[in-house]
Amino acid sequence: MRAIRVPVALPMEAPPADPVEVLSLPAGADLAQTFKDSAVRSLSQVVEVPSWPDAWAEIAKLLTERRYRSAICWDEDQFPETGLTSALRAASCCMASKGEWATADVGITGAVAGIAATGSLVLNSGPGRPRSASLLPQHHIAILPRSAIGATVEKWFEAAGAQLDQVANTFFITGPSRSGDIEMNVTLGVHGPGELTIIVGRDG
Amino acid sequence: MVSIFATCLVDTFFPEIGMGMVRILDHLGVMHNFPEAQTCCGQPAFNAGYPAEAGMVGRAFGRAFAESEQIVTPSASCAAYARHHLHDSRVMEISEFIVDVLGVRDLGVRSKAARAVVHNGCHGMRLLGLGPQAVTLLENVAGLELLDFERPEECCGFGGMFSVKMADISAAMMDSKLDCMIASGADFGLTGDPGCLMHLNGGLSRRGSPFRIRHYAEFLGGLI
Amino acid sequence: MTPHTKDFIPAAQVALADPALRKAVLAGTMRPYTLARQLLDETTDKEALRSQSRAARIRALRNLPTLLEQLEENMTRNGGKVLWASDAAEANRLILDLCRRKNVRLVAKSKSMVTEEIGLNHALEDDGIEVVETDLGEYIIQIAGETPSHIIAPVIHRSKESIGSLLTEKLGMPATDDPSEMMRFVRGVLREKFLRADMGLSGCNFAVAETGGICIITNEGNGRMVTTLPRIHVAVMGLERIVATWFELATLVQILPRAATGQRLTTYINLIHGPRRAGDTDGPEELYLVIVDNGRSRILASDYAEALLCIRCGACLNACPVYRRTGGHAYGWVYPGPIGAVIDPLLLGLAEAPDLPHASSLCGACKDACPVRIDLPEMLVKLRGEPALRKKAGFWAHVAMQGWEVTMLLPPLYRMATRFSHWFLRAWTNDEGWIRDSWGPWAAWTKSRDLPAPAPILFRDLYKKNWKS
Repeated sequence: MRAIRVPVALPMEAPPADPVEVLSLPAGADLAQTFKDSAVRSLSQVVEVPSWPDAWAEIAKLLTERRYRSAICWDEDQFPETGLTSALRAASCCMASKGEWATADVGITGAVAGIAATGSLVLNSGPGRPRSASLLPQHHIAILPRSAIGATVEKWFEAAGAQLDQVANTFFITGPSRSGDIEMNVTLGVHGPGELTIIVGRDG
Repeated sequence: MVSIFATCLVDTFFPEIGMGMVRILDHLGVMHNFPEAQTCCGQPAFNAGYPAEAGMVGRAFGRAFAESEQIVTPSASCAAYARHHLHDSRVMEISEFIVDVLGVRDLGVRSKAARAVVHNGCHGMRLLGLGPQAVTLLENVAGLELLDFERPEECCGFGGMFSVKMADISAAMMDSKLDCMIASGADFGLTGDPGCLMHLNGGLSRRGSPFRIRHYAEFLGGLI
Repeated sequence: MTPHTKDFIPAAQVALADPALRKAVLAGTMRPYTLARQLLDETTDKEALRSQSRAARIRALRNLPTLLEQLEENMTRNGGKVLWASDAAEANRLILDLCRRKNVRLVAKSKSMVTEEIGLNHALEDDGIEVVETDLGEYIIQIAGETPSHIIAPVIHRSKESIGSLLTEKLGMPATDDPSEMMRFVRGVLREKFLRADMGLSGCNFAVAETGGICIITNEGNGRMVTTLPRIHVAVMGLERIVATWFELATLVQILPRAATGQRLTTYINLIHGPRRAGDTDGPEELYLVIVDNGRSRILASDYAEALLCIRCGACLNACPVYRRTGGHAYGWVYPGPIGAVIDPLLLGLAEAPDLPHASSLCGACKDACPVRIDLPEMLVKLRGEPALRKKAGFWAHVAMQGWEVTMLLPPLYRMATRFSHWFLRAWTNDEGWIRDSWGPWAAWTKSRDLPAPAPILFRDLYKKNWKS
């Protein structure tokens, strides 16, 4: 331990008596609708489906349309309901082995939470949850259960902050990868996916 | 009774600004005096990194106005310095005094048809929230139209000793401010800061441009 | 990075004379500045949020040793290793030793200002290690052999045409002016580096003491790449970049992108608690956090501790009329703009950067833009008054200031001096009252502006004549 103790000539300033949220939602706001609006604003595509089977059908359709041949996926048992394997089979898309990740067309994941105020997905690492799925392919498709959508970033941290050290990596994703480095032109898909599709499904 | 703090720039370079202010005060029936012991508030030295010297001059300012209840000045920057650094709450900028203290929003004057842009000095704008008061008074001048221009809140580059120490950067800032003001299509500019005015008009004179920046106290006083 | 902070004035002149640079920097600062204002106005209560963010940062600085110990303890429990470096040389040596021990040949690096500050790339390259910057802007800078000119937008000083021809010349990219095509080309080049890299190097936007985690935010995803793919992840943080709790981070992590680029959130917020865990399919096998002091403790103990509240959003650069004219290279070191004008002299020593505290008109736009309300103008003024800098101004500046003081303290002398100047300067004064040429200290003024001559009659005399009752 090498931190040096020095007196700091910086008077404490009281924060506001009640902590302020950066963007608070009005009471009774429709979280799913707000999530959709915010996500679209940050250039994600949002598809709403009524049930899990519909979510898998939507994925199969997307894979077929785009002719995706290989996918990096969360393990089937990491999703609340099965259907991944059959969706892949229906679209003739194979699950990439680790050696093939670098060339996979698409990543398919679930999500820990959605944040309505910012349109963000929260994901984490863990067994059966490769971080690369949401990172290496050009297209990331995530299934987000409607019930997992919370109001704000603050509320999520309030609930989950203390347990963050239970996993190695937790990350927020808000839209596709982007850069404004060249004359402030926003270009998508710099290193991470250039396309992010969020399938919001009703539970059960 | 208000005491006039002319500021060193107005006293020595631009007396017409002080005269304009006095005309406005007379027009509004405000009694005034001019404490003769005044010179400068000390701001130039303070900003240049000479706090001890500035402090001496600042204390002399306090002594000069020891008898005053209310002090009015035609310099937004000096008012900001007096209030923030000398902690002298008696000092008011002229437009602030007219609008916020006297509650007068319309001087009842008219000008020949003209279009103008208003440049707010940084210290008045950022430390005292000045700007809206002058705009209120000017908007109520019959015949005068206020125009928008690009980057209105950007500094004109005066900055006291900065204009000499960093002369080239200061001049570049001045040029872009003048370009934006002139491009608005206005006939002239208005400001409440004699420092900005000296710097910008110095640049206009050098360019040979007919465009000029006028102090709004001098402008309004001239319409009475 | 070797500082050239002593050369601010000549370097600024070079920048001012470059119309392409001027155009690029003005456009590149105005856009995020305008967006940031909108995005801060959109919040629940902008001023309350700034107070809250500031309070969180002050709390961190006041409890810094305790929080850093807590961070080390928790980070170690999470499987990471914490290394302490008191200065740049030690930090570079620690990382270089690590590279040698672990047989690292290729390092993929995401954007980090502190590694620029300590000159890490050079230290590693001198040992034959390949270091690749992976932030699009930083990569362009690296292949151009330049240094970043903005904290957030490192290549702000270049037009897309000049970037296009650089990529064509250095890497054989098919000629294009389309930023998307340039980006796709660079993506291909860097993808291969990410996959091959032995070590990922990142900065650390914030460390959080309560759980021993670090937070890295990027838009491009390179921050996730370098912390996911290589077998070793090394994060380098300045020791002040810490907060106590995740709730405090929740505010800061949103305020930062709003102030920096005018985004509600950056695309990726990456929270890391140690290397990959048992059963994880990917992620680095080892994680090291290098905590760098390099002069920060000294600043913390000085009158300038407030400068360490900075969260490196770059909002003060975008707001600064000086930066908008000169760009970042003129400042001569890693941190340009108003925050650089304060921390460069503090980190390097006042004698190394004597002009930077004067590189501001004190307009206050930086303080207005700062999400943690750092009083940059006040610190600039305080720095100007430091004995070392006043001495640098020279004997005659001192004499002039004393002369000014005496004149201002004696109104009759002040009045006489004005009258005398008016009379004395008549020969040089034109009909409109302007002086075109001057000498001595005023020559700098009249280089680009005319100087008004003192009025024939002082206001005080006019007043006395017209209003004395």
